Amino acid sequence: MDDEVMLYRMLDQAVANEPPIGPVVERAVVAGRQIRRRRRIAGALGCFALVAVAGGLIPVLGGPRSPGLSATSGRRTVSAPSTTAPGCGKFCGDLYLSEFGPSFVLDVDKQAPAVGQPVIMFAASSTDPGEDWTFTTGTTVHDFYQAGLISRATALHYGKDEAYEIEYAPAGASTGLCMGVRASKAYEEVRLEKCGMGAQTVWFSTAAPQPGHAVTIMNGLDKGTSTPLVLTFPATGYPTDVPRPPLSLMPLAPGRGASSQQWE
Amino acid sequence: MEDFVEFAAAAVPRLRRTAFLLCGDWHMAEDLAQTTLTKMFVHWRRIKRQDAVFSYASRTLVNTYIASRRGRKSGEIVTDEVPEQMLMPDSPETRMVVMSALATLAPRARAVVVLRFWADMSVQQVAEALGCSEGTVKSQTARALDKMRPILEGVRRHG
Repeated sequence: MDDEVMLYRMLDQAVANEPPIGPVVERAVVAGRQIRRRRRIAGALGCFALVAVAGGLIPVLGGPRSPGLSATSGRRTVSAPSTTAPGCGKFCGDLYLSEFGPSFVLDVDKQAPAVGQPVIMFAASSTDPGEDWTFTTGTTVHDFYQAGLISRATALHYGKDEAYEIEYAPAGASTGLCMGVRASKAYEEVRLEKCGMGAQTVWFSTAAPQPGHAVTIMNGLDKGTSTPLVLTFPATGYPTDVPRPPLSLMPLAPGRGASSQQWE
Repeated sequence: MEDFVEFAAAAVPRLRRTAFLLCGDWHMAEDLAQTTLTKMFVHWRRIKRQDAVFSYASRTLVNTYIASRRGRKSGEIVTDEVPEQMLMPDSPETRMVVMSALATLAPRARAVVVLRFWADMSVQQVAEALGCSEGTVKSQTARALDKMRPILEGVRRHG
């Protein structure tokens, strides 16, 4: 019995001095509404499909589609490996490391849409809008050079590579904030920056990252040095570490890059 | 939905503290509390009719926590050994000792301890929340206390 009394007391002390709480209720209501809306739409579409199939309205479409890739007006979009929050839609996606698989995905620390907010990895969740990003791809480094966002040196070295901005889009809502860095140097932390302001928010790789096709990702500030800096998760860290290890730019490991540099 | 917001605002501090004792991380605890409330929002009309919303919230939170631990490598290291150094009962480090002791328990045993000794639920309520028999709750409680006893003894000795 003494043990139980002691345990009551110690558990009470363990939760003392708790940090301030965020807008949990508001976020839960928003996420809950999106789930409800999605279910209503899915239900309505299911009814429609049933009626249409019964009436012979839907023709059979031939040809398999590439996994994780959808076509929209000639532009490609990396689609989500099923972890994006409801309401994010087909333009949303999540990047994850081959090393950890889709259990941990790109996340904005504390979900805060603010310049300077660190970009981390967090457990994949279908209700966490902090994990929603849009990847508008189908453009090359050369295209970004022509748009004046990337230097000529970068375009000369990597002109044909796939280039993209990765915008933070909680629940599919555009924030105008993209994953970026402030400078091109080793250990530079990856954080949210305003989109379209320069090369710091442009990322590129030999192909768009897709599930099953890992690539190393370089930042647009890279000028084509002998040791390129690539998007890296700390090699000694784990996504559940506290404080959360932020992503950073690190020199490409020999070969195709370290396991902490392979993104899908 | 005003009644849901009212309920959630009242429940969220306690949910987050319970989640913290389950997972040992305030950031993750907030996520667990949010996910719990999101699930409740979706089924709010049905839950409201059952007239046991707080009990439902505890059950959902524990299930969400256990599901998040299932089949996933965790950064937390579960160990059979308890820390050697014991601390004063009212020292700020007590939290670390308690969390280390809780970390020695498996997720379900940890949930039993937290619900019984922090959420102050009866054996029957814990059994309902975890979907197991009352006997299982009692045996898991006894085993968990056995495992945590060296720490409790140490704190008592120094206190």
